[in-house]
Amino acid sequence: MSEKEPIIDILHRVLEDTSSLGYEYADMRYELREGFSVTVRKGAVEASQASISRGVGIRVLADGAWGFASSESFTYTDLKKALEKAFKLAKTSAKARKKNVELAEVKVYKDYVKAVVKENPAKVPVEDKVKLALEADKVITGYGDVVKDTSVYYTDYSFRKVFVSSEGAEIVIDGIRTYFRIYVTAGEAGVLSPAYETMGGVKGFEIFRGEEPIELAKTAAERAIRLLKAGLPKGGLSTVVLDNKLLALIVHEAFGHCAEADLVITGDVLTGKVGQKIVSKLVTIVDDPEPPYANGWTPYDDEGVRARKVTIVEEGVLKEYMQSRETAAVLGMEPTGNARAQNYNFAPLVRMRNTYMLPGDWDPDEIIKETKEGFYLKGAMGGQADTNGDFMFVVQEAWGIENGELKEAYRGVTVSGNAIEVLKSVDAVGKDLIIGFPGTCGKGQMAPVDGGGPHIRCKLIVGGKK
Amino acid sequence: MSVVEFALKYALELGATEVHVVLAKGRGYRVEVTSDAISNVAYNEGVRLSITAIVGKKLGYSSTNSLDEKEVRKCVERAVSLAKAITENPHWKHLPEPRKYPEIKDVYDTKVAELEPEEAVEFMKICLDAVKEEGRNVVVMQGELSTGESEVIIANSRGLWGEDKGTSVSAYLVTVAKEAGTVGSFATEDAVSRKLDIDFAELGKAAAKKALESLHLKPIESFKGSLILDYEVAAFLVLNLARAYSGDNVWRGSSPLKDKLGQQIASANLTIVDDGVMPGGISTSKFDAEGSPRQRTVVLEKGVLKTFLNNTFTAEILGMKPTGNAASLLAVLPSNTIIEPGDITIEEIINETNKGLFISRFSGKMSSVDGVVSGTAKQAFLVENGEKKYPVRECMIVGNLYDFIKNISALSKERKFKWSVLTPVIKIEGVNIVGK
Repeated sequence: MSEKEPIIDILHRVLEDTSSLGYEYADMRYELREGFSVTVRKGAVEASQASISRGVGIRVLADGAWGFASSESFTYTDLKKALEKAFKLAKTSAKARKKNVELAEVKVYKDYVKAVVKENPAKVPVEDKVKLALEADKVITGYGDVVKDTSVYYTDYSFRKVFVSSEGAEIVIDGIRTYFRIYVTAGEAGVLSPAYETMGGVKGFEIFRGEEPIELAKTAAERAIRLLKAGLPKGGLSTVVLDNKLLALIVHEAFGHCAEADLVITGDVLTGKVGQKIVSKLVTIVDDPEPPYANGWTPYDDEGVRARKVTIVEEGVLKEYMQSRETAAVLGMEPTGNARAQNYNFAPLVRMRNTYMLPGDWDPDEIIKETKEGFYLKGAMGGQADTNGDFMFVVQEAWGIENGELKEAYRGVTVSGNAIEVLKSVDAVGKDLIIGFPGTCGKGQMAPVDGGGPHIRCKLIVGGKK
Repeated sequence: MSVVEFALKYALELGATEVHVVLAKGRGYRVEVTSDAISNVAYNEGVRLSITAIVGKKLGYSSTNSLDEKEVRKCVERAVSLAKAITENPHWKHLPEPRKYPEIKDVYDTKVAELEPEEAVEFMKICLDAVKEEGRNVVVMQGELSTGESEVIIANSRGLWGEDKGTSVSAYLVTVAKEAGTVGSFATEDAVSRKLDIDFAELGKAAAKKALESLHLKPIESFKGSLILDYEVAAFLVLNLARAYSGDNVWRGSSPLKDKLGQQIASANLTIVDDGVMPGGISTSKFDAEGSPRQRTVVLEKGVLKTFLNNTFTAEILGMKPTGNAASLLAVLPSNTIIEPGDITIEEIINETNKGLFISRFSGKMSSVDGVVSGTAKQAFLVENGEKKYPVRECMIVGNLYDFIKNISALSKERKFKWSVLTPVIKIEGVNIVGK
C-alpha cells in the first residue's frame, strides 16, 4: 500500500487491545475532509469559505446489536474510550432488540485506491476559482434587467477515508469532488421564473477549463428568461418524452429507493419480486459504483465491501437489490457495496451510488418525431417519491408535441405517477446515455450520488390547469 | 486566553479589519430504528471553530473541528488569506455592534443533558409499542430519537461577546401500512422539545394512524373547493412564505413581496410573528448567528405586511433594522414562527365545509419565488357536507401560494408545534383539486 496513513497503526492497536471485550465485530472509519467554496451573487463575491473536518466513526456489534460512537480526537486513549462507549451502547441496544444482527461474510481487503484527477483543485489559486464564478455570473447578468437574481457556487473538497475492521480489513481511499451550481431568477411584469443548472463529480479543476461552465450559465439564464412567457398546460394522463435528466431523477427517487434492501425488508413495492417481470422489457437499470468518476464513486463502501455493479432490472425483470452486509444476511443474498455513511458521525445505511437506465436503439430526435400528441419534458426542480413507487416531480421545462413537432412551451409543470406503472409504459428508449447529474441524496443522512439515462417515451400524469 | 480571544487577536494581527468568531460544542445520543427494530444507538460529540476575517469589504471564512493550537492558527491564517485573495463584496458595511441580550427561558433542561442512553432507548420502545397497538399491520420504516446539548460562544472585533446553551429532544417516525399485498403511502410524524416532555406514546399512535389512513383509498373527481391544511402542511406553507419575507430574498430580487410593505397581502385573519425569545421555543436563543439579540417581530398583522426579517447585512442594504434573524453574516432565516390561532375548533372547521379536502401530507412544492403550488395530497380525506368521508387516492393540488394566503377563511383554536412553527389548522377556499 502506498501513502501510508499514520493513524492506521493506532486504529489497529485500539482494535487489538479491545478485542477482549467480547464483541462480535468492530470497525473504525477515519475521515478527513478539506473543502473550499466561493459564492458569487449579482456580480459580487459574497464570501469564500474553507473548512476542515476530521474524525473517526466507530461501530461495534455486540450481543447482536449495533452501538456507535464518534471521536474528533485521535490519541490512542481517546479512540479506545470511544470504542468502549460504542460497545456499551451496543449492549444497551441489544436489550431492546428481539432478533440478532448478523453480517454476511465478505472477502477482507487491504487496498489503497485513489481517484486520479488531472488538476488537483487544492493547487489551483483561489483567484482562479473566484474568476470562474465571476465570469459565469457576468454571462448571466449580461442578459440585462430581466435577470433579477443570480447565485453561482463553486465548491471543491478533497477527502481521505481509512477503514479498519476487527476482521483485518485495511482500506484507504483518496478522492476529490468539485461542483459548480448556478441559480437564476428572471422577472418581468411581476412574474418571476427560476432556473437551475449544475455540474461536477469526482473530478478535478480540469472540468472548468473548457467552455462548459459558461455554457451552463447561458443555459440557465436563457431558460429562466424564456419561461417568463410560458404558462401551464392542460393536464391529464399523457404520452411524454423524458430527457436524460428527468429520467435520471425518476429512476433514482421513484424506483431506485425501492430497490434498497433495507426498504425491501420493511416492505415496499419491490419486496419478493426478484425474478419477476415488473416493467417493460426495454428497461434495464443498474446502480454502478464506478463510471469514472461519477459523483457517487464508491470503490469500497463504508463497511469495507468491494463495491460491484448491481443490475436491478434487466430487460424488465427484477434481478437484485442493493445491499449492506446486514441486509444481505437477512435476505440470504450477497453484499453489493452499497453501505454508505454521510461522514464519521454516522453508521452506514444502504444507499445508491450512480443509478441509471441503459440506452436503447432510438435516435432521441426520432422519438419526438414519432410522437403524435404529448409532451416533451426536460429537467427537474425537485419533488418527492414514496416507497410504493408513487412520485411527484416538478419539471423545469416542457413543450407540447403535436404530430412529431415541439409546440408551445410550459413552466411549473408537475408530473406524477407510479414508477412501476410508468416504466411498464416505456415504448421507446434512446441511444443517448448520459451519466452526469450529480446530486445529494437525503435518507436521514446525505450522500453524494449520480444518475443518468437516455431519452425515453412513456406515459404519466401531467399536472396542469383543469 | 481562550481560543476565541486568541482567534480574534491573531486575525487582527494578520491584517483583518474586522473579525467574527463562533465556537460551538455539542454532544448527544441518537437511537435509530429500521424495520420496527432499534438498529443502532449512537453517541456523537463535536466542536467547531469558525472564523470570518474581513479585510475592507472582503470576507474570508474558515472553520475547523480541532482546537489544537496548530490547527487553530492555521484556521485563522486561512480565513485572512482567503479574504485577501478575493474581490470585494460591495454591499458589505460592518459587523453588528454589541447590544444587550434578552433573558430567555426554558431552553436548557439538565434532565436532557444528563439523560442515560438506556432511557432514550426506552422512549423509542414506547413509540414502537404504541405504533403496533394502533395497527398490527403498520411498520416503522425508519425512525430516530435524538437528544442533544449544545453550547456556543460568539464574539467579534467590535467587542461583541455572547454565550448561550441549550438542550433539545426530537423524534420522528416514518410508518407504512400494509394490507393484502398492498403497501400504503408512507406517513411521517415528529415532535421536538427543549425538555423531556414529549408524549412518545401519542407520537407512535399518531404515526400509525396516519399510515392506516393511506390504505383503502378512493379516487375522486376533480373539484374546486376548500383545502384544509393539517398542522404539518400549514407549517410547510408558512415556512415557504417566510422565504419571501426574508430580507435576504427581498434585496436580491427573488421575492414578490419586495414592494409590498404596509399592504394587505393576505386574508385579515392571518397574523404571523417571528419570535426568537419565546420560552421553550426550539429556535429560541439569546442571539442569532451574527451575535445580534433575538427578538419578537410581528411580520404579518391581520394580513398586512409589517416588515421583513433581517440580519445586519440585509438591514443595511434595505435601510431597515436587524431583527435577530441572521443564519450567518450574509444569510437570513426565521426563528420560531408563530401563527395566531382562530376562534373555532378543527371539528367546527370541518362541520362548516361544504366540499373540500383535509390534507395531512403534501408532496410537492410551494415556491416563494413565483408562488407556484403544485403537488400531490397524501393522507387526505374528502370532506363533504360537514363530514370527513374517506381517504382519497392521490390527487394533485394546483394553485398559487399568494392566492392561498388571500383566501384563508378559517384558522383553528388548537395549535401545534411543527419544527419551529407553532400553527393552527388552516382552511383555504377556492382551491383546484385535481382527481382522476
